[in-house]
Amino acid sequence: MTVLNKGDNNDDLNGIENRPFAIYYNIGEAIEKRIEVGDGPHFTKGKTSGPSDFVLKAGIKDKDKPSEAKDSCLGKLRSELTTLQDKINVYLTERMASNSSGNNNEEAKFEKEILDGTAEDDEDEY
Amino acid sequence: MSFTSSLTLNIPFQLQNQASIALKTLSVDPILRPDDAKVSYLISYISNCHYLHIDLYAISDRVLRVLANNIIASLKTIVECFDEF
Repeated sequence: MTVLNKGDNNDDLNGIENRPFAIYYNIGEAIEKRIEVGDGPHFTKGKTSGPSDFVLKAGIKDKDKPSEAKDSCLGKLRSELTTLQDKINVYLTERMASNSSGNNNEEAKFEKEILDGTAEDDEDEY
Repeated sequence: MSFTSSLTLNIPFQLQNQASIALKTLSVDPILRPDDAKVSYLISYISNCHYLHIDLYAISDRVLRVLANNIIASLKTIVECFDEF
């Protein structure tokens, strides 16, 4: 574990408002993108996590549904983390989509199947 | 294999103890595909907050997305535990 003290050089953190945030870098494309949670409102139920609408409409009960955030600093942090998670998912999904549109090779397809766990599902469909 | 994509998560905690416990809890999780991704942790004290910085490195945006999603989900559970107890 490394601990820095106040005053150490860390330009990315100047002017922060004590909210979680993320910074995305892509070395190959020289991209730097700061992802902020914004002013809210923030909720513990994420838009990009949990079961899909299709599953919920099929009558499946979401047993892992997150509890409501308490009216506390940590409750607020948990809601903000959910918003940050959503924004990261949306941003990276958009990047994946834009990259895959010009890159349809077998390696990318194999990686997608392994990471999404859809390799067996695809086989079942045919 | 080079890590072309990276993401730094910056999480503010009120107490040093909270940031430290979160770091220790997250750092024991193994990386399922260490050749494809790497994670490092750091704590700093800035603007009256103890920041947990989590640096994620991956070979692609897809791997980075999976990794970030898993870590943030774990982090939310840790924060919920702090809030409950």
